[in-house]
Amino acid sequence: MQSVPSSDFRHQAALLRLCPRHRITCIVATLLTVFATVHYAKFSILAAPNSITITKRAGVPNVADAVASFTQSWVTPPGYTPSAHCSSICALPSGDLLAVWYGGTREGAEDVSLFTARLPAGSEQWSQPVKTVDRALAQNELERMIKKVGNAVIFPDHTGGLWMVYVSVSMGGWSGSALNIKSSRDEGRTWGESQRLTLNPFLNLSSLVRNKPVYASDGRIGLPVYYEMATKFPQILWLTPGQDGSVQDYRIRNLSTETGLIQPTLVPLQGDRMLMLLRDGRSSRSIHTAYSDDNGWTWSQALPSSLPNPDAAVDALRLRDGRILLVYNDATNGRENLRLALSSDDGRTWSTGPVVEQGINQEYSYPNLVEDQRGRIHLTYTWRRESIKHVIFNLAWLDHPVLAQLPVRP
Amino acid sequence: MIFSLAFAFYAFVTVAALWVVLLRLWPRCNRSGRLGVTVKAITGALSVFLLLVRIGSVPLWKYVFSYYPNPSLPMLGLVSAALCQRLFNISFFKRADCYAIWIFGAVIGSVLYLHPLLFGTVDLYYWGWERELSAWLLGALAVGFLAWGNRFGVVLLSALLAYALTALESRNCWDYVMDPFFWLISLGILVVRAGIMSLSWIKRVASRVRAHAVAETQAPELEVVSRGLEQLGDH
Repeated sequence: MQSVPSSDFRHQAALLRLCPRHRITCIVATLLTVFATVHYAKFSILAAPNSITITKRAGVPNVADAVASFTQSWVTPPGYTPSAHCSSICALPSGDLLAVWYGGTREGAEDVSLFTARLPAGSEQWSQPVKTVDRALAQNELERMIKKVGNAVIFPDHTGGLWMVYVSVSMGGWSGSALNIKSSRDEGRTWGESQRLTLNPFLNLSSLVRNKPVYASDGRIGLPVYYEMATKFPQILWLTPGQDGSVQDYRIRNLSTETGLIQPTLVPLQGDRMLMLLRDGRSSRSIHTAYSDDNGWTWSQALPSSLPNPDAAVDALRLRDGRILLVYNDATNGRENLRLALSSDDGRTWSTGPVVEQGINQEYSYPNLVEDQRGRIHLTYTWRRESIKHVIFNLAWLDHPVLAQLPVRP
Repeated sequence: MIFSLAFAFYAFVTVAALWVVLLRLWPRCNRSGRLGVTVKAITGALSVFLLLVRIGSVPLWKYVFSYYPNPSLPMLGLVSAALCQRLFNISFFKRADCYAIWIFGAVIGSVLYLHPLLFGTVDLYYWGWERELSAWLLGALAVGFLAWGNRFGVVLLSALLAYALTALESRNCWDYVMDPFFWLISLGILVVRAGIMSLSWIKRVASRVRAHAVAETQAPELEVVSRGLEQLGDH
């Protein structure tokens, strides 16, 4: 066989590659693009927040706070929707309260919409619900097919804007969901367009939200979210709100190496410490706790607490006196009761408090807590999957709980 | 995100991908050889039309967008190259370029999508949010391939440009260089190629073994013949 000179091979290989002129042009273009990208990078914070802001209480506690107070009302009018679930409540700068929940024929149905209702400051009557997002609106605003909408959370930012993050699903069940965000500059009376948040590498699937955020002093908002496709774990979405109602920057961090724990609740503690409480979807069936010493950036291993958890959402709040108030289902199976618990040692030990709701074969779930400017604590929760109930109490009642007569559902 | 740019980008990807599929399907019906200009124009128009067809209340392109909102730039490069090949008979990528693309897709995709299962504490996707770091790393990778003369460097340069302009819905750099379909296609092609190479290697080895065995069985006979020949030579 006739041998081919090696120089011929080299020549042929060189023909298959880019010519030197093209190489140099492309390399120069690459370097210019890198410099331009770095130069015009608007925002880039990779570090942990310096500190977390504890919610401000502008109002001064009055004499009435010394008297135990406990009242109940309904956020949803009777029979407004056949099913109502997953409420979130927030205290607005004006003193009003705004609640959001989803309602329709059943969870996951195509007709499910997100509703908001307002409790004006000083009033005891919730406004009529307003349909804020439905499937058609989400489909139109997001320019894609939407099968259903689900969990939503509302929260204010440090500029006076109000934000709503909600779940939508294009394919499959809740594990195929994605998160969307929209903002309001008039405390939830009107809302801007929805924007899709890309949070996961695999087709942006399986991001869900449940609980209220924490606020970093640099303006970032840390919203606890979770992932639940194939494996389940908690995450934190760090949002930087823009002045114009747009999201200036966002990024997501995994919170724990533990799997099977979802729906994280974040509670800022003293200094840079933060507590995370987690819903347990595993066989251990207990509320898990983890701690962070750098404002939620890195976390300790999640460990089981003394409180049970029937694979249901919990919520917690740091009270003015430093104690932590927790609301949870006090069972390892079923959501037949809703109970309060208090911790005076940053969540290491808990003392059980009053049972707020109880009923055999009933569901009382997905509690959400917020403290208003007067220091009153507001609790909303799913009442038998039919309505959203609202409970108001103060610290004095927490220390001497006497349950008021439950209002009869009309 | 520059929303109009994202949609323009997306429209191109979907139309080009569908066009490639239609052009690929066409010769199976018509075995006349090369495709005419009319066929190319018809398939192009058909792909645009199909994507605008409404299924229920939603056009087809929105369905595709719902499930695949962030096609990566290598995927766009592959689709564009396939379209160029079909329309103008120009092959943009040579064999070495293709290997670089498939190996990049398979290795980097496996690392990105599977690392949480192996190294729980490491979150590689998070680093894609860091704009400056991502730009430098992507630029360095592109320069490396370009210096080597590999056209995959051009694809990475386009990914860098798209990232600089936020041409996708995502703001994470990973989504500009990797997507699940690109990963799975890369893995599939490498697995098929590895299978073909293994088969041919097995065949080669088998034929050698067979030849060796034949040579061994014929050896005593050959020895007798050679001895006979030697004796004849002596006489």
